Amino acid sequence: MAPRSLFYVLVPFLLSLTPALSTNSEGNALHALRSRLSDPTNVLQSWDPTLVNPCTWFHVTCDSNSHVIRLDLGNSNISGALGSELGELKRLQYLELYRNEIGGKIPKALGKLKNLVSMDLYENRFEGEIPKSLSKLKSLRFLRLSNNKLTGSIPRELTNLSNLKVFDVSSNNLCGTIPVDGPFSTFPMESFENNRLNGPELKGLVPYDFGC
Amino acid sequence: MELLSECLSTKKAEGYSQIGCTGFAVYKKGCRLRAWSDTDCHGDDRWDLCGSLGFGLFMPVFSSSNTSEAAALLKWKNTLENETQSRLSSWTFHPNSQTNSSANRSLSTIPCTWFGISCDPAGSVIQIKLTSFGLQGTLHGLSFSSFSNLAHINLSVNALFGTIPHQIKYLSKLIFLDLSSNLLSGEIPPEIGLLTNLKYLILSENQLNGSIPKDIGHLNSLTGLFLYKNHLDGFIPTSLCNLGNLTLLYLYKNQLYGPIPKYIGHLTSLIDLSLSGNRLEGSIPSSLKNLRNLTRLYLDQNKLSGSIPEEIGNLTHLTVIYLSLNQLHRAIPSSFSNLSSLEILSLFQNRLSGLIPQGIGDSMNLTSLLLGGNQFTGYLPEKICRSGLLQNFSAEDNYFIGRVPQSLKNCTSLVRVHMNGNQLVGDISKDFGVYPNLQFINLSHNYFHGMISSNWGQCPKLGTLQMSGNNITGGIPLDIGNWIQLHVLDLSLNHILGAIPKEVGKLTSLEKLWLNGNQLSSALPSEFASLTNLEFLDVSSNKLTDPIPHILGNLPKLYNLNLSHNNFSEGIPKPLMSLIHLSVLDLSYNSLSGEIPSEIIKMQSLEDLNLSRNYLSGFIPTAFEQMHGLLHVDVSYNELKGPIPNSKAFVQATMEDLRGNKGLCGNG
Repeated sequence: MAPRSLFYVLVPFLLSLTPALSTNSEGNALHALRSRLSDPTNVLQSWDPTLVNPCTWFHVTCDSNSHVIRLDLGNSNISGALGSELGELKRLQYLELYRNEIGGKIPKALGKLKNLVSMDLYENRFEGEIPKSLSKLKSLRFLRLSNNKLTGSIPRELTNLSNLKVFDVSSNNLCGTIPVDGPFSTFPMESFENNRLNGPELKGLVPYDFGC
Repeated sequence: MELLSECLSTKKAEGYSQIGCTGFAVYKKGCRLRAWSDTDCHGDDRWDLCGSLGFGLFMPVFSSSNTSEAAALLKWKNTLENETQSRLSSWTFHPNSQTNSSANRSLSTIPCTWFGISCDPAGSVIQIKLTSFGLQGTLHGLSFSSFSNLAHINLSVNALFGTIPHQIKYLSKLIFLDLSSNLLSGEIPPEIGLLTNLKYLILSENQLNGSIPKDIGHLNSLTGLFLYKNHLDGFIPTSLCNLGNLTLLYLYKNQLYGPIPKYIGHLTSLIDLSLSGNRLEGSIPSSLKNLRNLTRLYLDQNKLSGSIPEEIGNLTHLTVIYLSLNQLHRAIPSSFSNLSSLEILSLFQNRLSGLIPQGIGDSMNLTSLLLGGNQFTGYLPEKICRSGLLQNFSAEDNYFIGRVPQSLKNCTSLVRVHMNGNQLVGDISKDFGVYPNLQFINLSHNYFHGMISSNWGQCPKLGTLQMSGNNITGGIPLDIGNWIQLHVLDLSLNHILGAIPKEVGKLTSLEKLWLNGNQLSSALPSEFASLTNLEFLDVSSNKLTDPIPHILGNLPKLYNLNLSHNNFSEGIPKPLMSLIHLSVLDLSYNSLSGEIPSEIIKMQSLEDLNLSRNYLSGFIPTAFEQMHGLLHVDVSYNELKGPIPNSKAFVQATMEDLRGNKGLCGNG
């Protein structure tokens, strides 16, 4: 190859020289997540995107079909924010991100996690509203969002989560009223305390929590 | 031959704007300056439509073609998003607004001094280069026919959307086209096949769909064709095989289907061929043998079947071969031993069988040998680490027999090793050495014997050590406390005996620990309290005794705890109930006595609880009624009495989960 044409081709050539970035969409999703996070204690050091799947990465657990089912990053000194890539982990059952310094919004894309059993985002710096999309998480049993800076109201749609057994949004900045339908009738008041909530929803009156 | 004046009026009548009207006016194409007062003007020569700006600037000398090109660029600029336009502030006819301009800065430099624009000595645009520029907009406003000399376009890494206009065919001098990493959609226009000077066609990382147009086969000068990471489907056109000058062909990560064209052997200049990550089927054509310069071959992640052609082994320039994740069968050709430049051979997850050619490790450059997930038999290659550079070796899930080659024992370059799921034999403490770079090793499910060697402690980067399901004997070495890099340790399903050393407590990075299915005795060390990163602990099916250490309750990340099938005695420690993230707790088949602590209410994440086959007595705490996450509970074969709690898990429990107690009653 003439040197001149080498010049033109050097950049795309080098990029293509790593075919190694796996087609594994779950590995790519986690790799994208890693690039958004700040990780001073290097808990994500083993997250090597050139491997065929992320199943040997630390803090990741896969099932027998090499699909990610658990992400265990609780208490890991992580900051930064989450992105929509987490929605690609289609078989994820346990999302454990509690006790970190993660900020930004809870991504709507988390509503795609049809197999999610447990979402623990408590004790972080999440802000913005609780996405309505979480109402699509039909397998969800544990939803713990306490000790964040979440605002807005508790989406009524969450009353559709018939498998939800443990719900905790205490110590946030939520307003409006507390849903009473579906599983919400079983949650103790402690699940809601330390917010700006106006007590239980009064049926028959205006059902929405306007501009709160 | 017309006079200049006639030429001017004809062209005006045809709708072309006059640019410059001094005696030195020169029009693009066909009106060449002869003398200052007249020109040759051939009526049928191609003219460029000057922009509709209709200005009548007077330019001394110089081509007016560059102002018609400038006009085209400005017209395009106006179609782009506002933010992009503001970044193109240099694209203007009023250079006085620019700083550092000399007093006599002439308009003749337009657009050659504009950012991203380069011209030839005559002032005609030959290159447009705006990479990573935040360019937002489409290509539709760009009048390609205005640019007769444009040879080089690079608009990669931007946010261009819309389709590639078929008017691109007017760029007859185009040599280099890079529109990669944008948001372009629609099909690749077949008209691109008219750009016969094109050497590099780079459209990768967009959202292009449809088939690869067969017209691309007309691009005789093409050296590099990069269409990877798009949504292209259809067959690979056979016409592509006409591109005798092609050295780099990257079609990976699309949805191409059908076979690899058998005429691919005509691409005799090819150095790199990547078709990975498509839906290609059929066999690998033996005509690949004609690609004598082929250096890198990527066919992985397709649906290719048939056998690996013998001829590939004669392509001695090959450094990288990826055939993994296909449906290839039969053996690796013995000719592969001839590949003396081979660095990476990836064959994992196919249906390959037979013996590994012994010469496979012979290449002095071998860094990765990936054979896992096939049906290989026989021995591992004897000289596998001859290069001394082997980093990644995986042979998992095959039918390999015999001992680990000596060459592997001394292979100090190893980083990742998978040998699990074979029939390998040998003394695991003698057949492995010390590996300064080793991060991961899985030897599980083989027939290794011998003891756990202290050598593993001399592998300073070893994060994962898995030896489950072998015939390992002896005890856990006391110097295990030095293996501080360990995150994952699996010694399960062996014949390990003796006590668990308290030194295990020094492995503070440990996340997952399997010791189950051995003959470990004595107590669980209370030093386990320091394993604060522990997420998963399974010591079941051993001969452990004594009370369950209450400090286990201090492991905040633990989500799975299995102590079953041992001889743990005394009560369930109340502090154990502090495991607030525990999802699965199995204490079954022990000698636990006393009551179930009501503190169990703290285990709010608990989903699966097995306390069966113990001597637990008293009432089942009503605390269970507050454990809403609990799905499954088994308290069978204890000495419990009284009512079963009114919680979903108990109410839905089967007879098997409750039987064998002293008098449980309830609505079940």
